[in-house]
Amino acid sequence: MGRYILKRLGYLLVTMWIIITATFFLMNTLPGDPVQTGTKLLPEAVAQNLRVKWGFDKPVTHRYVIYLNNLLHGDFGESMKTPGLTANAIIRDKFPASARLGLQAITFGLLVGLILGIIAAFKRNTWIDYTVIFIAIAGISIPSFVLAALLQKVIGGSLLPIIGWPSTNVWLSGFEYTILPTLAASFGSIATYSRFMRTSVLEVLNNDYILTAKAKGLSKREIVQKHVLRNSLIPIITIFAPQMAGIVTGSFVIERIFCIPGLGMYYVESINGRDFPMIMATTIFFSFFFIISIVLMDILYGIIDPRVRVSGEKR
Amino acid sequence: MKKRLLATIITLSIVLSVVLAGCGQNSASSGSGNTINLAFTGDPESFDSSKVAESAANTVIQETQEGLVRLGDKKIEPAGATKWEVSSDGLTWTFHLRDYTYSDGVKVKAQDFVYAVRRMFDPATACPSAGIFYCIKGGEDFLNGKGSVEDIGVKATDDNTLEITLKTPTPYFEQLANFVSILPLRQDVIEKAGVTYGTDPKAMVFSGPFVVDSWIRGSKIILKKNEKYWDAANVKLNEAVISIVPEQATQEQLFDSKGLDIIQDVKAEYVDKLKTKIDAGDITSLVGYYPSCSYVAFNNKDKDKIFTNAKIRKAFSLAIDREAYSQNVIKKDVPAYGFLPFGLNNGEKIYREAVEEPLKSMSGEDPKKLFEEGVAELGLNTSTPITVTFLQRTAASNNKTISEYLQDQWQKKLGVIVKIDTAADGATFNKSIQKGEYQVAVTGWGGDYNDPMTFMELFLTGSPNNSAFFDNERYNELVNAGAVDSNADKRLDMFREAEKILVADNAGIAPLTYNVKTTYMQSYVKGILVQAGGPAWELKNAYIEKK
Repeated sequence: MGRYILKRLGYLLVTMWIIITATFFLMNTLPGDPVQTGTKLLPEAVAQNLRVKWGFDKPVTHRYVIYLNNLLHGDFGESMKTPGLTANAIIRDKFPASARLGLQAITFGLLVGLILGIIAAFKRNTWIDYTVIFIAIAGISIPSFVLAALLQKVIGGSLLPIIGWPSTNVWLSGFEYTILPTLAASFGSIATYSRFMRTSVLEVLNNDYILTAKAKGLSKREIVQKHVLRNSLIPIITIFAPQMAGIVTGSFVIERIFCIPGLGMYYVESINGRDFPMIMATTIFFSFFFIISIVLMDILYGIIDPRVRVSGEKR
Repeated sequence: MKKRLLATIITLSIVLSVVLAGCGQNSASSGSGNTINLAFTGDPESFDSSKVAESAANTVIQETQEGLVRLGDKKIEPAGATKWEVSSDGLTWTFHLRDYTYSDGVKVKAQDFVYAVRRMFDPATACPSAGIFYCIKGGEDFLNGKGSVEDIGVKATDDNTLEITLKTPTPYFEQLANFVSILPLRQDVIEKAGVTYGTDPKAMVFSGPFVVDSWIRGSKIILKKNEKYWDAANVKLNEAVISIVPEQATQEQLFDSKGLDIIQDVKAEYVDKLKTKIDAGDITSLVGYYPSCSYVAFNNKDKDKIFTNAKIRKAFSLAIDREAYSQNVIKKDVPAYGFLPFGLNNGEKIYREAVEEPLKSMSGEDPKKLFEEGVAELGLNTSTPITVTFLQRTAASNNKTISEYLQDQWQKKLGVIVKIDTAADGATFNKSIQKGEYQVAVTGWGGDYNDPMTFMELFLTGSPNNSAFFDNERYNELVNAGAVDSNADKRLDMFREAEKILVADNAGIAPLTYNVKTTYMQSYVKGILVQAGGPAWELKNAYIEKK
């Protein structure tokens, strides 16, 4: 197992290098002068000073070498849109809000989704099942920004704050600020998880070992705990890992609507604003998370289902 | 294995319960007393007055620093400087400073202004607005690495006297003196903070009516009254909470629940909803103008020749029904028959009130006839209809509406074929316009300071923002003379003639609308000043009458 993880980490480095290189050169082919992104053109001397400041006077390959070197020292560079603030500082500053919202949404979405899925499978073709299917369809078809605005309108204001986010003790305080965004962000995943779980449980229930378990005289609870739950989790893990990376690193829409000081907006706005250091930083950050969660997913497969052997080891 | 799964579930539930236990603490309680709740759509870039050129940053900086002058109700008023004189040749401006201090009690000295001006022109600072101050002697040279810092025309004759020497007479220099780039800066504070100056309000000092108490990026900025401000007795607000609310719909919900006291730039649909509240007196509205104008830019150096002809350009301009455009198509703003918007002063007078809009007197001309004359002048082949390409800013629906309307008007009234090309995004659009790789497009201009020059200089030959590549000798002559003339009446005549050349006689561009700035506020907000240009609002004299 240890060797397997090491090998995967080696692949991770190679993948990251390819991503960094591809993003760097693609980004430099974007049309538009990064120091002239405003509608007003700066005088040439002023623009030239900015180009020198951000290194755009050097050829792109030269800049690439400098960038890789800085990166090895953990330096993402200064964001072009916020003078004086480095991309490192922005990520450090913004990530907690995104991560907290993401973790809450994932925990809530996963718990509720799995429970609904299991119930629906056991109560197949009853009104409970139809309700869960309805929630699933609604959750997938209602965009999160519509739900967010609805929540703000119906619940926000008198009961819960419409916008805002705890600013001190970012991980634990101000729970009431996080309720509406968490609901809005998790609704889609509740739908996805419950649908997947329902199908998966139904499939497991048809297996012979369930019949055996029943024949052994196990109670329903024991069957669910020991046989059904674990075997039906595999497809959930497959969709969970990429979702995890996406949600934890920030959602553009939810954060924008609820004014949450998270990372989400930087993915979009750094590209529109040609903020090169920030484009690189967010891409690297997101891909790192994504790859790590895929590695974790592979390891989790092995833990949940012994039939999947991650490292080719002999039994 | 089973145990591990169990352990995972237990850990998860512990995490969840800890998270849930955090419930019930309110971290956003706003202070008591006179507090105003405001919103920006995005974070300021920084509070470093030498490095920013966007509205949110400018607004906060103007509220927290006291420069030479301050923009009062439509006119420049003495602030840090109590009075100033201009030499008879119009080149030397001497400002006399009052005795006032920063929030840490240190006196504001004339040397701090000298430092600020030198820092603005320093190539290492890369100040985006330095170009506006090219009128200061030696500034442009130092920026280009040619001159020395001592040659910049700014000096402190003593602690309270600042002398600024200009390259050419600039009658509107007092308007420029209100700009953030020449607010006083403390060398010791800036050197201590290094490159991070302007990102952390705790490491800054403030000389204005308010101080920045805290700034949580992406969330809110809290301004507190500056007790050390020289005119603190007249500042009634204790606190201003500026939330960062990018989504218009969220701002509306906050405004409805009185979580927001002022809302600007709202959509037409929301205005209808506000009507009943306005009638009931719960909300007051202020209608004003941004110093900005949106216009159709014709590429005067068109490679396909078509828009090099003044008659064709004029025909395209006259074919647009501007009333219908503003009322039915974009559903906002007011039709523009000239280039210079309302709310710009020429000396004491409002320019637009003194000068009739040039296109108003041209409504009698027939665009189709003009177009045919122009085509004949160019000797174009008329056996197939003439095709022009309109460059649309982005694929956003509002841009699409605009281009389709113009396409329809021109095709119907002139018999041309209008193809629509769409730029990938704003930056790509800007680049195509700046390089002249387009035929016709809609763009706009917002003034930087309150003088006709901020618009007129745009279309001088070779000006970097001359997106239409307009090139007219008489126009250049008039504008260059108007720039340096200190006689307001003479300037008015020169600008009147120049504007007529630009939009009517030569039709380098076709103005579309002047942008309307409507501010809605809860009726308990008093004393706030909303100007045409400059900051979003001026809070110095604002207060909240009991809610």
